[in-house]
Amino acid sequence: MGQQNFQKDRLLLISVLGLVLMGVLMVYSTTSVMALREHHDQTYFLKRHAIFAFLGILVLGVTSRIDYKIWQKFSYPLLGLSLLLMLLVFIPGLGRSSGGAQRWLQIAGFSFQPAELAKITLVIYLADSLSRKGEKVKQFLYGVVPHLVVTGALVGVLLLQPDFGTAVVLLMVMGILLFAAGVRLKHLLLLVLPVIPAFYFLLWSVPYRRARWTTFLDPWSDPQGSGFQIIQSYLAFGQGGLFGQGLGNGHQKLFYLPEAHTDFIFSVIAEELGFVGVVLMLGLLFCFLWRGFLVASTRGSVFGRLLGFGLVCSIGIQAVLNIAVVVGVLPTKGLPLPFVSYGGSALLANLFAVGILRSISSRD
Amino acid sequence: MNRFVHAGPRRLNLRFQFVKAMMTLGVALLLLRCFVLQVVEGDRFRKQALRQHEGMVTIYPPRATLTDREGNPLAFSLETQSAFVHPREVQNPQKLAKDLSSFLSVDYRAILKKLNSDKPFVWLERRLPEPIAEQIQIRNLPAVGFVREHRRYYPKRDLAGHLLGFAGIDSQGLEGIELRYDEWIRGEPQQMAVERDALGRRLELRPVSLEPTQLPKEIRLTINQSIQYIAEVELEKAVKSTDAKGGVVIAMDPWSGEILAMAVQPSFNPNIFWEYRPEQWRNRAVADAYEPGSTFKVFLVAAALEAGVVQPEGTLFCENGKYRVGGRTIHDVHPHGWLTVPEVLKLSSNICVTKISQMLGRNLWHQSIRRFGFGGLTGIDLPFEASGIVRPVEQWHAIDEATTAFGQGVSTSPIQLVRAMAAIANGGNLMRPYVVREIRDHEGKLLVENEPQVSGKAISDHTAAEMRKMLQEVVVSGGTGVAARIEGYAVAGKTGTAQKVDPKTKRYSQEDYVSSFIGFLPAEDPRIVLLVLVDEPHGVHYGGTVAAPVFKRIAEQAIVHLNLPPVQDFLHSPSSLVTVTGPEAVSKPDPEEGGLEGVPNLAGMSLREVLNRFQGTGLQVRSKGNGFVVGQDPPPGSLLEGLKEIRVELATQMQTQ
Repeated sequence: MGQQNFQKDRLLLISVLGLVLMGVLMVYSTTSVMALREHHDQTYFLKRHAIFAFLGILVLGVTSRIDYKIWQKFSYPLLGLSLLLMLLVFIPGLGRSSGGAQRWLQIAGFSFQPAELAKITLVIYLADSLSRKGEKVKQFLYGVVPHLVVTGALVGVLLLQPDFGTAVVLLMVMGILLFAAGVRLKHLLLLVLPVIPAFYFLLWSVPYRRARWTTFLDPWSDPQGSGFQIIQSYLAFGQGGLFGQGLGNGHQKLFYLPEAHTDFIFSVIAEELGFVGVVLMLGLLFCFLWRGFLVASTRGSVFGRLLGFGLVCSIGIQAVLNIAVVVGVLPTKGLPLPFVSYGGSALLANLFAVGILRSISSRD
Repeated sequence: MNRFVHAGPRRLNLRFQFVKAMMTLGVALLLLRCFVLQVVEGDRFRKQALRQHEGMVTIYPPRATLTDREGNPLAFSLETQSAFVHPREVQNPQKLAKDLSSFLSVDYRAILKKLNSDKPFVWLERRLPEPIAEQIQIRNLPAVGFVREHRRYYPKRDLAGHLLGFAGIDSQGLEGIELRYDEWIRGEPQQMAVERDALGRRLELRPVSLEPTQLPKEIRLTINQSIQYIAEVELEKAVKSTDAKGGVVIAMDPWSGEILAMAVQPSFNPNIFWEYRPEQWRNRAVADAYEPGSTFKVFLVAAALEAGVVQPEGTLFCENGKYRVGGRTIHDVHPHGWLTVPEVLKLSSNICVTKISQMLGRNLWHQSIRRFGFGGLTGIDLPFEASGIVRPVEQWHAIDEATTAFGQGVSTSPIQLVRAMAAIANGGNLMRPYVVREIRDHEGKLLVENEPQVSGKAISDHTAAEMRKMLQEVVVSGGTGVAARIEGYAVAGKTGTAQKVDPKTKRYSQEDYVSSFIGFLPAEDPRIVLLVLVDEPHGVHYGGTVAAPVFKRIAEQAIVHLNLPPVQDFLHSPSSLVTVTGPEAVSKPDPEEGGLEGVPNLAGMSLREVLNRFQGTGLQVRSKGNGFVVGQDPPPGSLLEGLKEIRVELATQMQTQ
């Protein structure tokens, strides 16, 4: 433990700010045409995204100065609040649906996605609970059941919205935290076994999920229909080549790529900045994960270490899943790329998480 | 007790490391996957993307309107409809092709071929007239769509065709001003694409790039439509009556370099430019170089006067028609004995100019040729300008010193010749010729304004004045250019009859000539420099017989459009024009009579008038702006003595009234 570890981690901050900056650039490049067409203002999305980036960085700064232990005290109220907000989404007038999903709360002209908050509060709850259980985590009843119930409740609400992508992230974060906290492997296996048929059921029960699977396995089986998205993403990657078409010069984003500014922003990066840009992005992401894990494994109390570990994992998993979808390794499931994709709630929540990480790294 | 911390940190750390490793592995695998997609298999996807983008079209906004100097339209864009089809959506191609064939100019088989294409988007026919497009539209044919495009229209047909040029189907300027000013004339293109809506497979042509500025700019030329018309009509008549290959007329304002008319024969109609052979599109006034022949003698005499090797009243012996130089014999058309320098020009003696050239020496003569701008570009704002050929003096043989004196062994473009003559007309300044006055946006805001530009000093004011006197002799009785004489006006000019080099024998042809006349008027206050050049006239081929009468006819009519009073009146009261407009005109003594005592009031004068006013006084005139004088420094009435320069400010609108 060198002296430098007592200082807030500069590299962590740089990599996050790098990702946010890339996000602002790419959101502008991706949305300018669409924004002009729909809102008569090229910078419509840019402005909104930039405002949230700015707010998020403020949140990061403030949070990093707050002792992270405070979150432990509020872990249950925060959890309750998240669940409540997620349920409010279903109340007409408060909730807003888009693209067949009821995921947003409409507040003062801005949409807020409670699931983003839920990701963090779940991690706080799990870190708090697991750190207090101590030896008892080895017992199924203490180590697994309560965490499974709480996570299950959140996942259940998410599936109703439906927001399958976030649900998967929550389940995986739970699994990883249980694993890291020392839950017995056989207990974890017990958990995974029923999950497999459940996943299978969930993936096939709704036609659009099934379509995602079949087209994932062979996108060219239906190039105009459900294979369309992933093929267009491939084409964007192909167009990009080594050095890309140049910032703003991408063709695919114009309308061939669906959700180019959110779920598929990585394709736009690949097309416009090429493999070089991809390496830069993945490099920044790797840097964030590496420094994040370092914080989680060397600093803070047990709670702090589990909290940091959980936050890094939740962001990391989401990033890996998002990119895996974009490059056709996983079926599409509608997850934005952390720090980069357009979307205020996600940006605020993720920068909030980074603030907690920095708070952990600066305290014992 | 907490196990996490105390009981088994090593084991737990192992689990941490495991998660870390998995995550790192995940990122590494993604990187690999991206490498495969972008680099290894990149080409395959790139090709596929290109195919998909066949569904992209670029639509151009209307091109700028081109007008003459008074705002009369010479070229504008008409709205039309272009029909396209989405072949993949066509259910019954035979039926659709049949329906369409009655409206389109393409036949059934060609339409069917388009409908059976596997592309997402195919043009059926572009730029259909509105009524036809409407008839198709009301039938609401499946998979057929329309998009607004524009067609270039030249309302005056052949008029100034070579100058205007034309644009291609994708709004790309191909010739003339349309090419040279393409970046101003064309608007921002708009990308449209065959778009699929979110749910179904319906295809639509939707804009994908930023909305272009749809409103066209206006480009105002320096051309005077009337003088242009006169020039074209008269040139065409001359070319027809002499059964010539073609011809060129250029009219230029010698003070500014503005081109007032530029006619080329045979002409072409830019509305249907594709029906002409490409060489007929070439603007020979700018893009071709000829051996000038005797018109070149003007510049030799000017050079010799400037160098002081001859005096205006000096005499030369013209050897009675035969003179041997460097193993060759120079001939005159008519043998002459002793001639004064003005008579040498008037009678166009080859032998005497050869002698003058020998007196001047090849170095000075070559320098002077270059100073008149020959062998270099004039910088006119038109494409494909030819620089002509003036060989370096080191490569001259003894005979070249002689032949260049009467315009053989050098080649010049017509515009170079006009510019050089304008320098004599305006007191020695080599002006940059230009054809575009100004460019305005759709709201009339000025974007670009071309202003007179002096690109060099060819000769002194004094020499220029001497030349203007001498060149008037050419058109008086007994001169070679007497056919160019206009009653009531002093015309200065020179004839030219150049033998052409036969491309087969590489020797001077005895049949093919270029006949020309170049001159300006009024001789003492020139408003227009005019060149008439007839290429390969049949029958009589002398410039004085073929080109001089054309000069006269064009000039006579142009005088009316330029509002030129007969020259006598003009000479006797040179200030009459300004006393009317100047609010408190002080007495302006004629410089030739008395000399200037005080700075005159210049208010309301044009720059040309101001320059003329101080010509020969050694005063430098500096100007700012365009139009008429609205301010001056020093003010009227100031002492002229010791004054080196006078500054004037010009504006287009007179502020005083």
